[in-house]
Amino acid sequence: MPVDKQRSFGTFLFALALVSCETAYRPTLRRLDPVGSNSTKVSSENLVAYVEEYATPNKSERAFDADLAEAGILPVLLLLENRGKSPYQITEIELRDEKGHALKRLAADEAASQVRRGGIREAVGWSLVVPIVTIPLAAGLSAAHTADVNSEISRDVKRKTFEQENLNENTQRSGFVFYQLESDRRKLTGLRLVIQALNLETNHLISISSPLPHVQIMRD
Amino acid sequence: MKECKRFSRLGVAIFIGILSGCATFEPGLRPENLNRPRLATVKSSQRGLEVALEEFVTPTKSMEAFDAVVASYGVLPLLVRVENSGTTNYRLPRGQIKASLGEDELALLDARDAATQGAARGYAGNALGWTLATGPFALLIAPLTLTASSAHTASVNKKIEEQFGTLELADALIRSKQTAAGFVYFKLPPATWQLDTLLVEVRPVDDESGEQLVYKFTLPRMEIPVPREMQPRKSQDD
Repeated sequence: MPVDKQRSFGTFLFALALVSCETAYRPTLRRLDPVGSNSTKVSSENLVAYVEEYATPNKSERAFDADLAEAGILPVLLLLENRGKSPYQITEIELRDEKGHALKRLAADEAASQVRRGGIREAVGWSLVVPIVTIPLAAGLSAAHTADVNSEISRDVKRKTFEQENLNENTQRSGFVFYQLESDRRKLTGLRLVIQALNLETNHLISISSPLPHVQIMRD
Repeated sequence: MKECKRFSRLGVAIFIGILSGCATFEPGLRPENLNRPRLATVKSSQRGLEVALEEFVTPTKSMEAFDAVVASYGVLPLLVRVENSGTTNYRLPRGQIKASLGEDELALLDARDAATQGAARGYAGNALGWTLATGPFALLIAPLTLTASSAHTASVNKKIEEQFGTLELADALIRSKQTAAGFVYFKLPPATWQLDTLLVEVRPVDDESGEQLVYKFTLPRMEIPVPREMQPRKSQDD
């Protein structure tokens, strides 16, 4: 093998090895059952709602491998169960503050953007370790690897997001809803999740309100 | 010419080192295997709800699940399996599982703390391994191996945390004909090498009535191996 190629090959392998393990996404939550110690169960007609906040770093990291509350996002795990014989249309899922104002609800992509990894930062970090000639290589590999991880994060967050579709008789659905917290909020006290659903047989609109517990939000 | 060959070999050596290092944490038990029937250490059934516990103090079992004898480092892992053959739904938050040793209630550890205490690899040991692997270049590239080892150790630690986390019992709503299984981790008092009177209490809640069922288990006596580094050194006279 020519000398230059040997040198490039060694450098390539080394750079590849260094960037390979760094930005992994490894959430560990397997069941989306909101029945932990801070959960509530409320019902109206035949619709039952289980609600649990995921504001604490431990819970958030288990679900998303990131502390979302620190980034100003509150994930709320919701399980809706239709125990009746008529379907419901879920018309609204709002998080309201003490004054009744609704907080901004975020789409899965917006929440995922707070979980995503920053490829350039890691690449620059590695460039301090690897020889100077490998910086473009390390940066390129790192960016490609990070892009893969970010796609995986987007898919995972989307899969865990609550789908606001009609809920048929004797079915249940669970998932996360995400809200933008006010910058000065330090506690969940006073917030309540309000779910409105329309009984598609009787046209009766029902409302379920679940107050969130007294949990401190850790933010810098 | 010779230098270039050396450089290329060095790259390959480090690459192999990293790859082989990445494979240092290889437990055999996978989360998808938890729901399969296993031989329980103790079990009991009430109203169609069976609760089974299996100890993972024994070195062979602990190695299978965590690639380390975690009880030797103060972590008691218990595999909890709950099978609902009845008609009612039950809730089982992890906080409703308590363990005590004699008079002392044991603190429940979350997966990350259990991983850190029970199995996380030391930085210095890995760096030493790297230095040996790089042979004659050891001194020349020592800062590089140390930095890369640190990064690699962080990656292995992340894997260990992931294993503890995915095996951990999640708060579960156990519907009729469903099963929930996973580990709970308790913190053992320092220098506990024997479990004589380990009591475990599991309290699932009937989701409709809110009534709590109480399961009380006494686990058989178990020995915990003392890690080599904590064993008393033999004097030359012995």
